[in-house]
Amino acid sequence: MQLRPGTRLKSTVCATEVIVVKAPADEIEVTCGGAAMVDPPTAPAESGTPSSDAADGSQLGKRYVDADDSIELLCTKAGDGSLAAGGAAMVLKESKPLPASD
Amino acid sequence: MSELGLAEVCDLVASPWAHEELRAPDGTPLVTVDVASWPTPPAPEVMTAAAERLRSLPVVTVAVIHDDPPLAYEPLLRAFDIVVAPPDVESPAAVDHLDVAAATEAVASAVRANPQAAVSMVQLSRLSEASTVPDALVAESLTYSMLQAGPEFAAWLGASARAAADTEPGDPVVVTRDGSVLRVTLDRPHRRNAYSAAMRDQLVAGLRLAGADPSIEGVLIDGNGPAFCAGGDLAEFGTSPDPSSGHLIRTTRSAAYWLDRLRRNTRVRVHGACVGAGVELPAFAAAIVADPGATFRLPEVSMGLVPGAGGTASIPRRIGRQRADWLAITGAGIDAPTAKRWGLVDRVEPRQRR
Repeated sequence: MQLRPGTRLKSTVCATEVIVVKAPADEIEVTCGGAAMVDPPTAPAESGTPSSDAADGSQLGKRYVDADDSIELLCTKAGDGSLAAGGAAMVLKESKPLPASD
Repeated sequence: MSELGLAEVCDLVASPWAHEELRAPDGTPLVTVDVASWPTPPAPEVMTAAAERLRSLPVVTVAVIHDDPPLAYEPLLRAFDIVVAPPDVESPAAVDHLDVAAATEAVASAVRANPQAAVSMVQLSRLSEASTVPDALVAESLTYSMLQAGPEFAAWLGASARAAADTEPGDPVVVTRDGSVLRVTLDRPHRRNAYSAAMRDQLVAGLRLAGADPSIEGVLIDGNGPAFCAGGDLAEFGTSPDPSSGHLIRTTRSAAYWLDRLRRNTRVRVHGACVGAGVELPAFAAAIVADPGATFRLPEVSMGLVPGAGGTASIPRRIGRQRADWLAITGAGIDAPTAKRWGLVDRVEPRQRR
């Protein structure tokens, strides 16, 4: 699928929804719980469950990136499945904690 | 020269030495004008010039009025930092106080105690009034950092006994989503939701989510425990790496900036103590509902600082510069009915326990 910043994707096996923050130039398949994510309006009703090797869950408001930082997704609805791009598991991108400013 | 008449003040501020010499007899940077009566107003250009000069003075300017101001005097009255009046006087700028003398003395003693912070506070408010909110936030942060390097904050730090910063389990902010509504709950009840760096980071993360996802149509902010937010985490005061780094941190990760961006869709429910950040941040929201027992207070000037969580931008935009300066300079607390009357909150309604 060709992604653009702002593209929304929905899991077909759990409640996870994401917005694309950063998109790679080339097409890429994004999966959640092992199943391809789809355009939300065309999403079928959730069916099945995340595959056991992709069931760590997604967290609301967190960003996820691939290993070479070519794609970044923001989780807008949490779910049980975990995200992968191009077959590789995505990792949580944490904002660096900043010191107190007082 | 501590208590001047209105006619005198127009003459005195016109002096080229006014910036240096117009102050209280003991040297406190404070000018108090007691408006016993309203003489025939000076010519408009005289009044405009006096108002402009008054706003440029490095002193806190206070007008005490005893009856309704004639319309012609509004431009001059608006130039003062604080206006004090008895409760029966109709003026949207005035702090209505049962004891005008006590209110005036409250300002004077606060300015005497922390003259640098007090003067910086009113200068910041004057500047902020003509600025956009994002610009006002930058000005506030610059002022805050400048005062962090000053002797008044150092004296406060030296004199105050503060709890050590504790490591604590769990998230200081709980963010959940219900359809198109994002619910953000401050959740450090054991510290009355003191606004720590970790709380700031998580609040900003939640607000950025609302900023990134157009399908979030409402943001609801509330607090868990006995108070909405008891202010900056005292355990963290003095722990900023240095004042200039503090400025970059505040403007890099600013909850105030995002609350202002999201203001139209944001509702806040406050209760208990709303101190410092606990009133500064809600004041950005389009709608604030306060529990009848809520109280509001800005203690920063008494610590040698100015409010630093956006309050110098948000609070005057709700209640006017003069009342905001009164709250900031005196550190006086107000209750929910006063907050409602001044427009600091929109509704007073008992909190439903969840």
